[in-house]
Amino acid sequence: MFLLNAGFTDRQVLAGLLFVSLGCAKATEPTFITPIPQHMAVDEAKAKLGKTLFFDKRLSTDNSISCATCHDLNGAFGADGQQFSSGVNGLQGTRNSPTVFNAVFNFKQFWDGRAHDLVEQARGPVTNPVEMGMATWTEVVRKLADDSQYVEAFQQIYGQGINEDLIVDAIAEYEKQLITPNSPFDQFLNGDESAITAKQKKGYELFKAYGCVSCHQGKNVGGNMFQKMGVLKDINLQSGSLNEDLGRYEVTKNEWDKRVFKVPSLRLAVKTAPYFHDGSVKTIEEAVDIMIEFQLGRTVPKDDRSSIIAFLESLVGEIPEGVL
Amino acid sequence: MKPSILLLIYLSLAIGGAAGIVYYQSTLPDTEQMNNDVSQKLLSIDGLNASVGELALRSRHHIDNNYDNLTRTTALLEQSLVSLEQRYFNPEQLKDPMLLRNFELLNKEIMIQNDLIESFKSHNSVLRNSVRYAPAAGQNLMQIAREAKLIEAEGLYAQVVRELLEYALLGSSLSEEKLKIALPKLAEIETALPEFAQIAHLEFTRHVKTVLDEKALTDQYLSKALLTTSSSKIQGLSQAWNQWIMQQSSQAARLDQWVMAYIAFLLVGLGFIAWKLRSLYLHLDHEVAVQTAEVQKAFDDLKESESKLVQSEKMASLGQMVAGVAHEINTPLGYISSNVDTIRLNMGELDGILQSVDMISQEISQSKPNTKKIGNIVKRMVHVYRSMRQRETLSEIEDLLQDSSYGLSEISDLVSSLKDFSRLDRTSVLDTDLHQGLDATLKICSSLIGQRQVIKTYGQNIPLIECMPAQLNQVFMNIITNSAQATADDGVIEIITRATDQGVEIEFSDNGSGMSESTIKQIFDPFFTTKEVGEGTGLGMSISYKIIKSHGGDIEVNSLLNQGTQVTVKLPLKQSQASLSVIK
Amino acid sequence: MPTLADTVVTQPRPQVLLVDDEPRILRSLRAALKRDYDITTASNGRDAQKIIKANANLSVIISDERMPGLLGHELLAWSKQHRPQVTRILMTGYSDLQAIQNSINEAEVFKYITKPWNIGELKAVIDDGIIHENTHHQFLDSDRPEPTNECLLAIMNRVNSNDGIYHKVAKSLAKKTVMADDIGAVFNVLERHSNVGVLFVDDDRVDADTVNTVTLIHEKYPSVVIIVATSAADGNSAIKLLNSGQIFRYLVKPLTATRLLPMLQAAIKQYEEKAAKQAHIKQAYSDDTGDSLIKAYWQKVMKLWH
Repeated sequence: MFLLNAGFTDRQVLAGLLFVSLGCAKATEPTFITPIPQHMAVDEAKAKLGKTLFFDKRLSTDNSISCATCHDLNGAFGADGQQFSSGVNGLQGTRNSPTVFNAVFNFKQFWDGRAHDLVEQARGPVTNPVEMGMATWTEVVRKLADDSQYVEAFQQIYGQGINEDLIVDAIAEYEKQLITPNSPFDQFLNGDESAITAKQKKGYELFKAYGCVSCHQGKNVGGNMFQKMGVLKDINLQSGSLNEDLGRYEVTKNEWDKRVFKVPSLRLAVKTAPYFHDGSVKTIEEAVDIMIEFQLGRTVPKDDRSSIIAFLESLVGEIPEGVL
Repeated sequence: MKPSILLLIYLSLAIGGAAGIVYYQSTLPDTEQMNNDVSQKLLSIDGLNASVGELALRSRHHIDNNYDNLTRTTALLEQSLVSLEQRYFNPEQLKDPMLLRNFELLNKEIMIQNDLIESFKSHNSVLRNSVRYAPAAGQNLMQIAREAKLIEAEGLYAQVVRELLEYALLGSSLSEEKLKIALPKLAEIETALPEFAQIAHLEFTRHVKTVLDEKALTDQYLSKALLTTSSSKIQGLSQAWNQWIMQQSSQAARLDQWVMAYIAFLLVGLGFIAWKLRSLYLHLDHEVAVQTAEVQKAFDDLKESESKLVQSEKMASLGQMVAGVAHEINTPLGYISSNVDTIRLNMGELDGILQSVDMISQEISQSKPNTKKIGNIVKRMVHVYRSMRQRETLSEIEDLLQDSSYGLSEISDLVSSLKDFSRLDRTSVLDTDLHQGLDATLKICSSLIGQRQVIKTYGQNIPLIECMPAQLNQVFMNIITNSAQATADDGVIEIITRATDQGVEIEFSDNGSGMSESTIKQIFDPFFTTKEVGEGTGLGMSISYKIIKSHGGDIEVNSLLNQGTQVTVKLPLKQSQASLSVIK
Repeated sequence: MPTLADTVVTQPRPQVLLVDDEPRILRSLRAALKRDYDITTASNGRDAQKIIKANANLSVIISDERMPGLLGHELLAWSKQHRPQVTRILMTGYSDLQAIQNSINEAEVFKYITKPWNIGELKAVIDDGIIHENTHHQFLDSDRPEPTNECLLAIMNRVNSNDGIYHKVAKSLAKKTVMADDIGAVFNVLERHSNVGVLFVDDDRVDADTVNTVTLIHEKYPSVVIIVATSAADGNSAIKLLNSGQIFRYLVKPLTATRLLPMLQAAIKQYEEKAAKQAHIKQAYSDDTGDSLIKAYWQKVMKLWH
């Protein structure tokens, strides 16, 4: 802004910055991916309450589903392995459940980014008819208020009675803890050359070389921007169903937002099949192929793909102790 | 005006004023803290906004290789605006439409800017990928063309790569034109290429196209984002805010002035009231002193007048007694003295007869009595005697002497009653015969009692009781007097005495006018009287009550209006030490 | 030659009614008075009223105050209404102020006799009363001009606190009023104004001095009707004022104009009646030029000699 105020034209600015950027590029290795922190600062009491709520099936209308049903923390790395999750009464949604792990690092929530943060996200599924199916939040509050332990806990922690805002706040607080630090690649980034295999190192180089890193960057290896499905090749040419969902367009109704989705984090990609917004792609290999073809306008040999997948495996970190 | 009213007005003004100020202040925001907070937030928004531009440029030129910082900054910017809106810029908090509009404009602008940034990020990633890949792909194709001896193609690839780089890195519009001209040429040479290279060629072409498209879009989005008026909107908001704050401050300052004026007013009022109160206090002090003196005097007067009244009651009963006794004594005394005079007069006539007798005896005693003379004397003597007999002088003398003798005994009785009544010879507590006192009292009251029938039903074997007889007689007289005054001339007064376990009971009853309930309740109250002003002190029964109580006894009054009254006096046989001291 | 006894028997004697509830009193008085007067007795007020009604020639009533039924002053007040010419004398054993006041103001008694009485004095009072009623000769003020109907009111105010009331009353009466504030001034007024008919004495300290003054005025100016008002009411002085000053009214303060006015009107009327009577008597004297007296005297002498 100060530059603009100084009366420079954008062109002059761009040229100046280009010079600077070239100088910098030479000096250091560019940081595409950064490690995720070891801990997230949370209110332990709220998180503990959130954890109880996360696993509480009473949040659904027929007491059959909890948050953890679709975001299975134990076996499925925060997702459920299904293309579409089953909600109450066997109803199904239209998008694949993403993992809840590392969701805190996503700049927006949901595939179309309609929620700004975890709190906003947590409000959604409870009253979604095909998910937990509660009629209203009032109903939820009434149900939880029957449990004197909840009443007591909320009173103790928040100093007030149960309400919607407090429930989602507690759940979001718990979800902040659901991160996977100490992945081999993070350790590599932190200077441990031996933390990853040579193949994985090669895979990382290929990841950069093929241009994956253009979008899948940052500490979450994605999750900080939107991108269109099929930027270099028309997604209609894809044999599957990836062209059917208009994505962010449904939220913004901007023409240019058609088939735009949040770029997902790849940290647990190898653990959370199936892939893409509609879960239509079963394997990681297929997913890599589709990405390189439609997003990067390239083809990838099997060796390279294998290396890239090996790299993706090095992104899987540890679940911190005591959060499950 | 009374200070109390003044104080009331002052207090209501003070409270009203304070309430008004508090209310007015409550409508005013806490401008200082608010200003600090908002200014700080606006400053940080300004900073974040600048950072967004800077970070976007860094991303555009690959200084930053991930969007984390940019994303975090845009998110922070949004969050700052959201919190600013929640804290201050919402219609519930802020009534200033100008300021709200300014904020809304900024908010919209930032939203647009962030959308542009998001678009920029997407396109920038694609552009970056193509810009990185296209030269490598071009070089690979140059190599293939060279090997295939396709000089023209090699040259075209080289030109395209060069122009592409120049365009991508320097944004030369000339390069852009050249690239656009080169693209159809690239399509022409495709067929000349060996088959294995055709896919690579297509990929290259696609990336070159992508660079052409995406660079334009990326730069377009970025420049749009950078050229959004968010900065000026922030400035506008800041200005509007400062203006508003100044307005608020002036309002606050005005309020401060009002508060100062109000406090000054309160102080002046308070001072005035303090001064008033002080003078009032001084006045009151004086008043109180005067009043105290007056009350003291009134009290002293009352005590004096009470003792005077008690004295006057004594005097009144004494006077009544004297009046009665005087009448009782003067009546016999009147006829006795009159009788004596009459008798003396009559004796004069008798004296004539006696002189005649003497003259006759003298004549007879002479040697030669003059019978004629004697005859005349006798004749005259007989005449006088007959005349006396005719006027019943002798029987009259007899009667008058008898009456006089009766009168003298009356007087003698009265005098002894008087002695019995006042018992001046007995000033100490004595064993006393109540009947004697009652009789004496009745005697003394006899003129008052007049024709009223007195029925005395004295009990047998009534013991002597320890008392001050004069005091008890005063009580008896009081009760009997009241009875006599309450009854008609032919009324009946009954006195019954009886011995009880505790002592003696004396019951006085009459068939007089009686008393109402309220009168009975007040009968022992000092100064209570049903008599005309000046006729009674109203102390009689009160004193009677005191006397009986001091004797350790009791006095009860039962009465029915127009039926009669019954007064019962109960007296113990012996006096306690305490009673003795009181009585004396 | 007529005997003394004969004379006594034949003399026409004034009729005297004695009223007392005590028979011994009646017996004693009868014995004492029967030589000089015709005595009738009654033991209560009712009987007395009957006798008064029946006996037109009654000259004097002597009544006791305290009697069952009608009180003495009540009987006398009644008598004043029915036989105003009968001389009324109250006799009582005790000077009860209320009784005295009533007997002066209501019964307008001639004298007030206290028990025990002196028989000689009693007779003198009875004779005085008879003369007072029959001849009014004491009315003739020796060295004073004749009274006229133009009555003048004199007020001796020794208190000076009721001036307002007196002025008001004087105005209502439409009578000339002279104010005097001491005894000297009163005598002065009486000397100079032959027509002073009513003297109002306002004195809070009714002592021997007042009594003497009133007595003197009465002796010198017997036609003047005297009213005494005082705040220090006292039975004994009231009796003295009546017996020796022949006061018309004895008032106990407080005074009000409404209370005073009828009182003064009655006093004026009294004076005017007396004045009229006196004028009539004087007329009779001048007509007969003393003959009737001489005639009467001669009649008495002849009777004695008979």
